[in-house]
Amino acid sequence: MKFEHRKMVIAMVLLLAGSCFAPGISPGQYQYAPPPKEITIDYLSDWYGPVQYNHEKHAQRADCQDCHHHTTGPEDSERPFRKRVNPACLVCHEQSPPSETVSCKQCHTRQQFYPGEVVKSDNPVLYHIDRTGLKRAYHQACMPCHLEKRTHTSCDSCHALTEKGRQAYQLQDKTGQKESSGQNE
Amino acid sequence: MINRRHFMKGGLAASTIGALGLSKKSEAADFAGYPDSMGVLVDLSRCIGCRSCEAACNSEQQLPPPEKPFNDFSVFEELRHGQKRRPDENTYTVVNSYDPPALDHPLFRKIQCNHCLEPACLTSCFVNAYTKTPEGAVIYNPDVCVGCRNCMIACPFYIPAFRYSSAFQPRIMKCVFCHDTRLREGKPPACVESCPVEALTFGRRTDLLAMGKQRIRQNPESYVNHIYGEHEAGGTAWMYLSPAPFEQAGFDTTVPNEPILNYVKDFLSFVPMVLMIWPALFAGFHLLAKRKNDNTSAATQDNEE
Ligand code: SF4
Ligand code: SF4
Repeated sequence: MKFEHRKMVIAMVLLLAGSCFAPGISPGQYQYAPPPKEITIDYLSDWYGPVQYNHEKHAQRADCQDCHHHTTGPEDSERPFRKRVNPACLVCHEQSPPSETVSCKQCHTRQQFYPGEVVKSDNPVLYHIDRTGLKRAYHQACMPCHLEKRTHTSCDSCHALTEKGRQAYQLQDKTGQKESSGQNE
Repeated sequence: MINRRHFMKGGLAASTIGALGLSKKSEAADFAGYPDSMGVLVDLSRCIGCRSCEAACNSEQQLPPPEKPFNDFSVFEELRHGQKRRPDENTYTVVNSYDPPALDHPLFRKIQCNHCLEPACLTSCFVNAYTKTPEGAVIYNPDVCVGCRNCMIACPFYIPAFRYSSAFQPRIMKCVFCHDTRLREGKPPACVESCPVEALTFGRRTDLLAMGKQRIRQNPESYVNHIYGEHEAGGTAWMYLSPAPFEQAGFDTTVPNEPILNYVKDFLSFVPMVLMIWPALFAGFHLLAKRKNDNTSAATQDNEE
């Protein structure tokens, strides 16, 4: 089975245009375009279809930095997000300015483990020898919170299986031979 | 490089020389391995047991359909002869669930061929059906296999499985690291690409060791301070990190650190009778294989690329 990422429609995943409108946090000097209320995340769809992501609803329940971690600049008293940042990052990035985009895919590649990514580790001064790819980054952004808040965590509660996915998982309910049993949890 | 390649394919020669005591230290122990060979680091603390890797393997390798769909999690309860699931002649990889006492959640572990740096399957095979490729895969050529099943006994991880469908066309079934369809082109194997959480990290083995050590260093409370496969069986291309002691996740922690070939050799040196007979026997088999080999040179050449 081949993942035909490149052939997929590169629709706008504006997961990203996150501005800080969460309660209690002022955008301060960092101004981003207001995020759309709903985002279709289909950049990686293959076995699973796109995620219809309600950005507005999530922004009411979490801080921007819960998902957009270190991409939004240094902490100040009004932006107490350091609790979420891996201390190992701060060794170098204590004073890093905000990145120009808060898009996940700007830093996290969907070509993870392809030759171009593997040779990047040849750079002797590079500390990021173990950078997370896009698929893990998306799941890491969502799953810890969903588990903590005991909300839905099964695969198809966020993205439905496509026909290709049904074949990959060998769900053959059309012939009645196999039932789609035992989804996660 | 050519010499090394020949050596790695020359299980017969190496074990015969070793057996006759011409070299005290086997060549295998001096062979440092292919410098840029690839591997996979499996991080058990990341795996969520979704079985996507099993599904991806099944499609990529065009294996027979499974009894239950790949998102049926009742397979984790299955026992066969009191044992959890194993890779078999229809399945190159399985994910099993374990319950280490110190964890409040199950621990999942993917099982497949570990693609040893000095594979016991290869050294035990006297018709050279196995090849360790410079990319890191241990591949198998059914055209020369005589069906003796030595490799099944030699493998310290009990991986090679025998397909019984035809007595005249012996066929060992095991993970081939997607060598022909992906690895050769530099692409990660299908299971790695399917994993939603990067529990499987593909890269150069040397890089993976550095990553594994970095993960342990940065989160010492989350991991056992050991990379399974760094040294086991002389080192393997697939390696593992675990948050619980490895034996609690079904790993055999008694696998020696020396390549299995060295053990075979030591054993032989204590049995002079065998020394007299085996070389002749091997030579016979070798000639047999060679004849068969010549008939199918096109196919094997492809494997040697
Ligand atoms: S795990 Fe077993 S089958 Fe795989 S390379 Fe090692 S000895 Fe051979
Ligand atoms: S695809 Fe990844 S997370 Fe899922 S069972 Fe396989 S290794 Fe574990």
